[in-house]
Parts: sequence; structure tokens; C-alpha cells
Amino acid sequence: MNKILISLSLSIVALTCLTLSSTAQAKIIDQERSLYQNVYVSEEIGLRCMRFKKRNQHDLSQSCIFLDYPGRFVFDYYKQAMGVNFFVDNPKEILIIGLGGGILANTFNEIYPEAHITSVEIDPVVTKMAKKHFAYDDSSDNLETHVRDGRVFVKRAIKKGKKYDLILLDAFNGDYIPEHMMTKEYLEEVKQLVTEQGIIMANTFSSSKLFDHESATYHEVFGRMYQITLEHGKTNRVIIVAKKALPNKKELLDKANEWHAKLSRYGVDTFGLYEVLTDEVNWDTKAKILTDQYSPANLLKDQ
Amino acid sequence: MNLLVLTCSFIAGFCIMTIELLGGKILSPYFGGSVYVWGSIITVFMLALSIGYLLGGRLSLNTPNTKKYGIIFVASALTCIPLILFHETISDWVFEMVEDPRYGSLITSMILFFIPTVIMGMIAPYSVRLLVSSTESSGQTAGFLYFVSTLGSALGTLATSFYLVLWFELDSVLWGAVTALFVAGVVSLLFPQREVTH
Repeated sequence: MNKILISLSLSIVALTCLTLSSTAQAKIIDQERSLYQNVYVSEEIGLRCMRFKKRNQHDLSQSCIFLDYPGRFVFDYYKQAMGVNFFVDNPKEILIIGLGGGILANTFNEIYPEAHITSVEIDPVVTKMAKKHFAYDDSSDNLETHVRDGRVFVKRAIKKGKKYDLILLDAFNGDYIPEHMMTKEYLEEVKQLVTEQGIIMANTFSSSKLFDHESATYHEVFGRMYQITLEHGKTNRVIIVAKKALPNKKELLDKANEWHAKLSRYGVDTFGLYEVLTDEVNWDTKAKILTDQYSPANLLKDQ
Repeated sequence: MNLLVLTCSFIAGFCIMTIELLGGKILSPYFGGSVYVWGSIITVFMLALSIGYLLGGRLSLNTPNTKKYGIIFVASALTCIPLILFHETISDWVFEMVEDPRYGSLITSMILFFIPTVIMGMIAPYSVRLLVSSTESSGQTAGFLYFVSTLGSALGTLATSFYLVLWFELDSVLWGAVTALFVAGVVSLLFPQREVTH
């Protein structure tokens, strides 16, 4: 019994030291308060990350890159997001809602150099940091950035008759996705913005009670959907939906093969993605759908 | 009568904040969740309340009674109904007309919330008039009245943001507020009349 206690306390001490040393190593290289949050960029253990500061809580990393291997993905969610390439065929117009550090924008710009990529970001400070510290460069003709609320942008874009071949939903605040950007009405608006063959990908969390509500809402608007989650409960989940009928999983194996070499330089194993890609209904189908009338998303998240 | 007035003031305080808080949810699909949306809502509420205080005070000069008091409540409930029925149509219409989301949200808040909030603003000074029994104690009476109604506002904010949005749909909560205001009005209207003269 004593031995167990001793080893337990030793491991606690070791763990504390480790945590302390890692926080000691974290160096804030830039920080600025915006209208929405306190944005800071830190460097630690070979990583550079953009975070939004909150008190007493572990700050959610918005974007991270490896300082020595800027091309390789830090987060599983970036890797999961690459699964969307199985579904699209050389998209010409790409829309990204939620620029963050611009990692998805940069990556898709590399993968599809011909494509025109429009990114929407509500926070001008985030856009500035993306340019300064994460090599996001929208000076070329094929990249454009709008500083605007994502939902307002989407509504305006519908009025202008815009269409996109690929839409990536990646808007996050300090907690989660803003409540007005998780509702059935919002998804219906996004659906109006894709071309007939277009694909929509969303980056969401895979845990909490919100999982069921969120899944039910996507299913209500789009019908069948694919999900990519590399580690349940630990990583984000990527949802892939479309206006048209999605292909069967078998048909996607060729795509995984085709993309394998191209994506391996980002540290993405397309066969691993193919393996976890699923169109199963793994949520509580009785969960209430989120609407503009009922969207207590951030309350549900913590339940 | 004191208990009636205090209860009604509490209800009014509660409902004002419930409606104000839900204003953010009504506008965010059209104008975003940004700080200017809250700026628009708070501006309109403050402006409307200030005018309401003025009008309520003026109204209390002529034979103040619980019947007129009840009419104010019923009017506030009735003017909230168009807000519930047409907030989508109106937001949509303003969105079409005004490109800048700051002015879009300001104009929409003005159309949706201004009139009912002016009427709800009339309640506080009118309540003071009904409660005040002497010049000496008027400060204390007004202070206690504001204590009760602002406590109602605090609870209205808390209840709405913590629980009501989790349990009900937005419009249902608004209908709840309208019903509460309406019932308070009808009870005041039916209250045995006693002329307030000091």
C-alpha cells in the first residue's frame, strides 16, 4: 500500500515538474487584444500556436505549426480535414469560414494552386497574426480574405449568387463554434452556396452532449453524412456532407490510393483516414435539432 | 395595492431583460454575434426606457390609478406580439436594404424593440406614483421600487440565459413574457379601484 502511495506521489511530482517546465518553456512572441478576445502567439517545444486567452482554463489552441517542419500537420483535425479531398474533383472555388492561422487556406492553396480561395474571419487581429506568424499571404490573386461574421458573409454571398465547389466550416471562438453558426437555418444557407457537385466539410468536436444535437442537425439538412474521427473523444471530428448523393465508401478507396503520395508530406496517412471514414449513424437520432429558435449550443457543450 | 404594484414591477423588470437578452439571438442570424449587435440592442433599450420614464412620469400626473397602470401592461404585452410574429420578416427585410451590419442591427432593433420598451419604461415612474404616500418617504419608496424591479431584471437575465434558452424555443420564451405582462395588466385592471390622492 505504502509503495503504491510513494510511487503515486512520485509520479504526481514528476507530472507537476513536467507541466511546470513546459509552461516555463512557452514563450509568448506576440499578443494583442481584439474586439473579441485576447489573441496570443506562443512558441513551445518546437511548436508555434495561436490561442485565445481565457482565465483559469486551458486555452484552446486555434492553430499550431511545427517550427522546424512547417509543412507537417500538428493536429489530427488538419489530417482529418484532408479526407475531404476524396470527395472533390479539382475544386475551382473554395470558401473557408474561420481563417484562424490560415493553415487550411495555405494547404488547399498548395494542393489546388489553380483554385480561388475565399477566407472569412471575424477578427482582424487573427487575420493579422495569420499573416505575420503563420505565413498566410493573400496578396496573390487567388486568395482573398474578408473580415466579417461568417453567417453574415454567407447570407450576402447567397444574395450575390455566389457558388463554391468546396466549403470548409471552421469558425471557432474561445469555447466552441458560435451558436448562430450551428443551426439548421445556417446549414441550409451554406447548402445554397455550394455547386451541384459541391462538398461541405465541418470541423467539430467529437465529445459532449452537443455531439448528438449537432449530428442530428447536419443529418436533417443534408441526409447521409461521412465522419472522420481518428481518436474518439480526444480529437475533433470532421463532417463531410453534400447537396448531391455521397459516394459509397468502397468507391473512395481509389481516391485514398490516389492521394496517398501527395498527402504524405503533410504527415497524412490516407489509408488511415479511409479506415476511420464512416457514414454510420452513431448519434442519438432523437436528439433535438439546433435551430435559430433553439441553439443553446454552449450550454449543451458542458453538460 | 402595494403588493400588486411591487409584484407587477418585478414582472416588468424580469420581462424587459428577457426580451433584451433574446434580442441578441433574434439578430445574430442576420447581423452576426458581434459587439455592435449588442451595442444596437442596448442603445435602443436605453433610449426607449428613457423616453418611457418621461412619458410614464407625465401620465402619472392625471388621476393615477391601478386601472391605467393595468392598461400600460396590457399595451406593452400587445406591442410585443408583432415582435414575435414578424422578427424574421423584419430582420430579413432590413438585411436586404442595409449592407452595413452595424446599421442593419440598429435599424432592426429600433423597429422591433423601441415601442414595447417605451411602454415598459412607463411602468417604473407610474409605480412610484402609486406607491408614494408622502413627500418625506418618496425617496425610500422609489428606492425600494427600483430594488424590486431591478432584482426582477437581474433574475430575468439569469433565468433566460442559463435555463430558459435551454428548455424552450426562443419564441416560446417571448410568448411567456407577453403572457406574464398581459396577466399582470389584467389583474391590475380588475383590482378594486381606489383613487390615489395625496
